[in-house]
Amino acid sequence: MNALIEGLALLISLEALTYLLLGVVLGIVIGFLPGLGGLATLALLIPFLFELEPVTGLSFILGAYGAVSFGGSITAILANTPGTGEQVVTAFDGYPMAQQGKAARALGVSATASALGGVFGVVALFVAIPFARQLIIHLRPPEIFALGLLGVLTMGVMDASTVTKGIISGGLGLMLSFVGVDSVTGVPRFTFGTLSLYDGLGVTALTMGLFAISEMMALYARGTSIAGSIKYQRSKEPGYRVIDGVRDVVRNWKLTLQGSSIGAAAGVVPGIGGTVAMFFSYGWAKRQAADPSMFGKGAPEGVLGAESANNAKEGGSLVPTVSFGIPGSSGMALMIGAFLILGFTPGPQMIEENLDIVFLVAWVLAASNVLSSIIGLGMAPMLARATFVRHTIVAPLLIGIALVGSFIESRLVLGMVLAVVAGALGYVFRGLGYSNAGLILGFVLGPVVERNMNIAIQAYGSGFLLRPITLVILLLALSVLFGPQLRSRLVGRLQRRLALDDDETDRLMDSSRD
Amino acid sequence: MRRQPNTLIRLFAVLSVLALILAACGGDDATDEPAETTAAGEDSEGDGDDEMPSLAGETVRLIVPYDPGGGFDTYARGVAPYLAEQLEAEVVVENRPGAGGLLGANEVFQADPDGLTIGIINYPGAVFGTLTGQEGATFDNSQWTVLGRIAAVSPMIYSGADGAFASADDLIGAEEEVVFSLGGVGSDAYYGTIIIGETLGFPYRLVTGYDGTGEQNAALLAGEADATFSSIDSAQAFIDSGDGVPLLYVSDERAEGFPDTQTVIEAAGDDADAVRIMESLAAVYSLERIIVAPPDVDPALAEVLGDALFAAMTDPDFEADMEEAGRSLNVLGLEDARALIESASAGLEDLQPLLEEE
Repeated sequence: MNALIEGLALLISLEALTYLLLGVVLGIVIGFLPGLGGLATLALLIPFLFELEPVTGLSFILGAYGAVSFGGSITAILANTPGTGEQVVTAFDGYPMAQQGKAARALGVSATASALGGVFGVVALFVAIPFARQLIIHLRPPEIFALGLLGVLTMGVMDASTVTKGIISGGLGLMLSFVGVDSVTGVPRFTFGTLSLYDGLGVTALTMGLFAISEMMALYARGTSIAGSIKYQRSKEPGYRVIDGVRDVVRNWKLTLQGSSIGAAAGVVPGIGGTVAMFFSYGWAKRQAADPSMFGKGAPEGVLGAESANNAKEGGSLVPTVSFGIPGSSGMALMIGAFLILGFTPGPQMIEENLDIVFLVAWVLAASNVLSSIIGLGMAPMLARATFVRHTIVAPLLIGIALVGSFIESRLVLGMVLAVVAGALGYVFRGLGYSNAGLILGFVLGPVVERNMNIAIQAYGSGFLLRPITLVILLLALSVLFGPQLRSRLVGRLQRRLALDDDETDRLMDSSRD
Repeated sequence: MRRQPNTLIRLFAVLSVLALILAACGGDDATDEPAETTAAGEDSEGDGDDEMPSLAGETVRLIVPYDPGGGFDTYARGVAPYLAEQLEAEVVVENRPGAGGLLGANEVFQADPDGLTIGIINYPGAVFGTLTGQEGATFDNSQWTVLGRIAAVSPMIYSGADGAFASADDLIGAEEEVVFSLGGVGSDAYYGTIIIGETLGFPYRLVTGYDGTGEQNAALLAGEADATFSSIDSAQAFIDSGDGVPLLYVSDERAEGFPDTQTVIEAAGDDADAVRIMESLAAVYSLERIIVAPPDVDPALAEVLGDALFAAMTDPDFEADMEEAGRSLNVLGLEDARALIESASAGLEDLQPLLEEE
């Protein structure tokens, strides 16, 4: 308990807070430009750490890190383009809200939910740290493999129009991730002899193509601004404003809390990143909703579900990071390097001797989330205006930025070609009812799933599937995939047996559902 | 209302194009300026330009074949600003991870030998890659333009505290397979373990795919593996906290922090062949982190880079930075590094047969 307070006390100093603010501002700028920001740019800030004192250095780099994901949420809502890839889930309902002229409200929900989530992350860290060792011992590669698979399949299934299309979307994403030199064996796969494919397909190029470019194509086809027929004046009315978004979160505080818990729990599992965390939380919000069919069509609770998990997961991912030096997320890998430079070695010793620093890290992240949310809330009305601008201005601009981002990632023209191809693919895909989100998640998690499966087979043999936790997770995946079908089959049978008609069956089903 | 936006947009477009043109022209000007001073404090001015190549005003890429945040990355990002100062150029660190360091090494090897691309490489990894003819490796280890050595952190074989091994003797006398948690197939740890296992004669099984020492250590904690092979820097915290037990040190001298831990050479005992092989292995690891340029770099240019690098690596401020980051430095300049490589190369023949069996 002491360390919790001490960590906060370290932050409350003029110098630390100044560097925090500096980091946050930089982070928002970095995260805001889709494809141009993210971890690679964050790494540019690392050399500055050599000059800074430990506390100010942490405030600076973590301030930036916490703010980067917020910028990504902004573009997800305004243009259906996840800034750092994780926010595809935010776009599920965030973008439809923008299309209804409610961009300001969506931004309000996002900012508030992620701020609260960030603070919750500190609490989660505090609770989980004593259990870190147990978690690491029980969350081995078999479990991580199963979780990754669960995430990919269920995301695809939920987002696509049929179960089969969902599985295909996720599977296609997994297959695309196989392109490149296999990191375990060093053997090139699907590279067709070109060196430029050795690194695999660029995730930025793929994301920009599937989401930004395909959406801009759709926008051009519609011929209107993002908000469609809604006029700008509408956005000042109740139900459309930033403050309405804030109210949404406050009213649904229980849901926010639940979403943050899911986010933090998912964050603890190494390798399972933000997308899965946000997606599980979104799925939960949908289950709890009074009217689940509104999800995907602009339900504020959808954005709430996704964003409440977003920052909470960082608190969770600090657990394996500081306890064992195992990055809980790819961003954490960078943070480990930063810790080392500042003189802290992640590991059991850090828990014993520098626990106050561990909590300082958590507090800085939370403060960074809150700060960037406040700045975001202030900027939201202005940002929302972009959704009312003509497509002839918005589309070329966004496509331009997307292409530049795709190029910068690998410095190969192939990146831009990939983005364009992915754009066409994404456009067709969404029209046919497949899931772009499932595809990108399959692509992002492909290496995690494959690597952990490899280790699992080597260390435990094929019997790894029967490990208790793994088995439970896989059964969960199966139930998501085949549950609805099984259920309706069983219901049908029951109906015939009991000779009920449809209305009676519905009433029976509803009353048994609670 | 329609007129104004159009004019504004036109104005904006014209200004952007102007800005781009100015930026492009600005870039040209910088490279046209003659360099006033050369690298590493040589004080020829003006008339020395034609004889001593200079990289002043250029952008030099320093390739790191691993992810940001790791050991190699930290050394690179640490030395980059000092090197930039010495060369009066911009030094940009680029991460090119993948295939256990192969992709980055490939990139450096394939680059133009104009001094604008250099890299920090894992010499043991490169050596083993070449010796085994690893698919995907497009470099020839004997052809690097070596610029210097920045660190030489020797590796350690260690086990979990709850495991069956408390000392090197336990390991060597093992009757059942010793399960090792390792990174990628073809990494230097992979081959290092094989060479030691074959030479000292204990049965082993390698589980590959763990991403970093953190995960390797976690496998020990969970009882998923019996032992692992990793640099002593990475092992230190794990062992000091009581979770790990040091078994063997891959070097010709015992480690300062672990005076009771045998070296692989000591463990080879009286077997002359085994001793020789272990000595070769230790020699390869003495070149653990070196800075290289593509083959056939002009010798004068290589000297400029080498001198600048040495000055950067021995800068007291840089040394202080590295100490704070817990990274040990074992700096060798161009000449010394090359001499060390020559002597290490001589012993490679001993290692080859063991690797070819795989």
